[in-house]
Amino acid sequence: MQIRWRRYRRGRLNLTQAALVRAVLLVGAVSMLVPFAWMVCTALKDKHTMESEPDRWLPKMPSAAPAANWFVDYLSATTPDFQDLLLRDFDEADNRRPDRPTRQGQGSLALSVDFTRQGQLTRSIELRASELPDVPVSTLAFWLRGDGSGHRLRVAVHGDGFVYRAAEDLRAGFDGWKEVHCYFRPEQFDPLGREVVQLRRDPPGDAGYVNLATICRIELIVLPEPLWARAWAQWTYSFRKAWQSMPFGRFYLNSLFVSLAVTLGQVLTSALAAYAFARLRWPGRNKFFLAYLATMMIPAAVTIVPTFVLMKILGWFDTYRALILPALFSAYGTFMLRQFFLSVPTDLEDAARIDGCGKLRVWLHVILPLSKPALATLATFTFLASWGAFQWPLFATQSLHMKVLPIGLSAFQDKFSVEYNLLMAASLIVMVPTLLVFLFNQRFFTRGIQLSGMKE
Amino acid sequence: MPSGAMRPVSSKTARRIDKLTSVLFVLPNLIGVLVFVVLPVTASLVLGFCRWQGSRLELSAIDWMGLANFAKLLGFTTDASAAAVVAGVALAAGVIAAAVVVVRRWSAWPRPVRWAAAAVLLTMGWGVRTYWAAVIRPQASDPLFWQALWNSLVLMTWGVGGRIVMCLAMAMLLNQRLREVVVHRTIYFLPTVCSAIALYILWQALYQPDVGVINRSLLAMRDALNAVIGALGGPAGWITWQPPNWLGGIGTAKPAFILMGWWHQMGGLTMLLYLAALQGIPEQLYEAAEIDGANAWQRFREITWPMVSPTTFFILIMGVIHGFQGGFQQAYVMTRGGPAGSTTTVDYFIYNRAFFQDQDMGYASAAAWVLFAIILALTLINWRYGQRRVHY
Repeated sequence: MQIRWRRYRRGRLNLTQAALVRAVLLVGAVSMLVPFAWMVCTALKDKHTMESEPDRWLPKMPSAAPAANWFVDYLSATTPDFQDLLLRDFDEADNRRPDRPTRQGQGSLALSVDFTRQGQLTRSIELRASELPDVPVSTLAFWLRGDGSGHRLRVAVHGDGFVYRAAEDLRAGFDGWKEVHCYFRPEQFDPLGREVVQLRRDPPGDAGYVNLATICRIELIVLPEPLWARAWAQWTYSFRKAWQSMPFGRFYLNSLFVSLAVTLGQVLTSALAAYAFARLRWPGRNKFFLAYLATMMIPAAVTIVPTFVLMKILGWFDTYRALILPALFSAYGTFMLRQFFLSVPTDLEDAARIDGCGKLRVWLHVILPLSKPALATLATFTFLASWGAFQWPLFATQSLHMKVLPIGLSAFQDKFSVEYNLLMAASLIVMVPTLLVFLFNQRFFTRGIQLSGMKE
Repeated sequence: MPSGAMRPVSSKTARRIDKLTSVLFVLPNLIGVLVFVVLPVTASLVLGFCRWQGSRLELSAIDWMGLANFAKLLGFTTDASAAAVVAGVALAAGVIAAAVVVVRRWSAWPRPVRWAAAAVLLTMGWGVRTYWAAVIRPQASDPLFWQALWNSLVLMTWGVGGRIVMCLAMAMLLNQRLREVVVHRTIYFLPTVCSAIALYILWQALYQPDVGVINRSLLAMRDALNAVIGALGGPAGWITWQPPNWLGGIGTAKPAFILMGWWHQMGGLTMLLYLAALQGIPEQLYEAAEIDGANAWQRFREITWPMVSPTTFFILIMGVIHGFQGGFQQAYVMTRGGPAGSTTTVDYFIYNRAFFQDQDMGYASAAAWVLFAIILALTLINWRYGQRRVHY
């Protein structure tokens, strides 16, 4: 039984019928593709676009003007016991102008720059150190009003006799006010989803709390960037963040290693056993084969619980052994290959035997080369099943570095349950390689499906 | 031809060595199957009669429970008298026996008799259900398990039924002589090759009640309709319908799963199986039918449907087996079995009991064996009564 991808029914449709079929197919295809389209579009959005334009589909373009027109207000610091200390409200007379929007108080600091005239803009905020209380602080924070241009803002803080420089530039691709948090302590995320700038000490050293009284100057530098770089940075934001927050590279390697090992092992052991069941004579062969068939009926739920216990007892829990070994031996593969081996003509085998080949040699040099399509099909399907396996790897592993791709993705979902741009980006990271492999080997896939799907 | 005939030496030892080397071929796989299938199955059966709780999994913590696990899973308490319960069981058995009779005679009866029999059967079933609900009022000792059974049954029935209808329709459409059909086949096949977990995450996002695309589109459509009504002079905001909560609603979570499943599998393996079956139907049959003046429906009913019946049977058997023991991934990724257990399938129930909730390996094993028994029974029923409807 075989499918021909490029073959149709022979009869022709009349015009009305053809139009009807076309319309139905088109509606169906659109409904198939819309979720994928939404997935890609969402992954191309950054955090700010998600918040400000939840209904937007097409990627947003930063404003083209080679200028930044930002405002800073309400500079504050946070103590270890989460007390906010106001440092500057920019309430001075020269900051109080009607064209300067404020977040708090009466005035704001303008960061306005026209890059056609000026390479970059540096604004220093001098603090009167003697007026500041002598307390340690973990964070500096200020409100920033962006203009959607996506140029870069570099932050540096002079305090404790060191310079604390931002590990990464901030990209003000948003419109409106945002609270920016500059961490002295190494912290990955802000639980409230605010803008986070990680400050690193220069010269390098342990950064912890910094004495507020020693902070004398905060430098804000606005740097220009070409439009394409700003757009690229905005569109790849979710992908970069997703890739950084979980070791997807490691997950890929785990998945690849486990799937390859399972495929290789299963094809090898299945082919050996299938040959014994198809061609060799040994006591109890048919009874054993029936027993093999019976094991295919057993639901995974029955075996997974005791296998998990077995892994715990053997000390294999959370290792590659636990991921690979239980999946290595399959009754299904044996059954499928046996059926195929039965159809291989015996003459070649007999000829090889007369020439003095042993069983192993016949298997290796006659049976296997003749069964390449079946072996390839079994290999493809074992690989796909192993690549997509979820339940067993979920229970058999625990630590982050042992996770395979689907489990890693599920863990990612646990971590960012409502940040859909990140979830979609991570899903695409997991999905796209398999998708590409499929698109380039479509016929091979569908043919294999036919071979394995039904045995008549 | 026996291989021994070709060998000049045929002593007893040689034959024994021959057999031994044959066994060596099967040994690697056999050992694996023994250790990772037979041993766990046996252990699972034993564990089903035990309680084994605790994260340390000490062997000394195993308590023999006898049939207590199964009694808790399947048992119920009632205020009704023993006689009433016996009568209820007898009534239920009677309905099942009647159903068996009807299914057996089905093809021998003319159409009106079939309808009448089906109607009688439905009435009897409804009556027995009412009797149980009104007179016996059983209190299941583990209502969650019964709920999980019901959820699995609902998801499996709608999943398999919808799949058979949609995939056959899809295969017939994609089997037409149109240039763009090849592209369509690829598009409809896409979800099958994507990571299932990624798609579940995607659909969870689509189903979000407030920000999800589905509800936003529904609301937009409602507002557009309202605008049209307003423009035609009707009352403003006439339609006040609110879109459902999908995964968050007890009544809508299962339909959401079913819809997603259809989308997922509309053009997948089932469709390909049907496509292959359709391509295997000889064209002469259709030509002969057309000469005889058969219309499209008659051609489908009398040629296509019988000719693809082996495929349908295969899909039904596999769909029931996989459908009833599946559902863990969706439930785990999208709802964690909620809301209020409305998406907890038997599969999820078992793993939840074994690994998350009270970590009782014994109780989970017992539930797994109940699941096994049900699947076995369903498969046997399918096999027994389905095969005679298949035209090879």
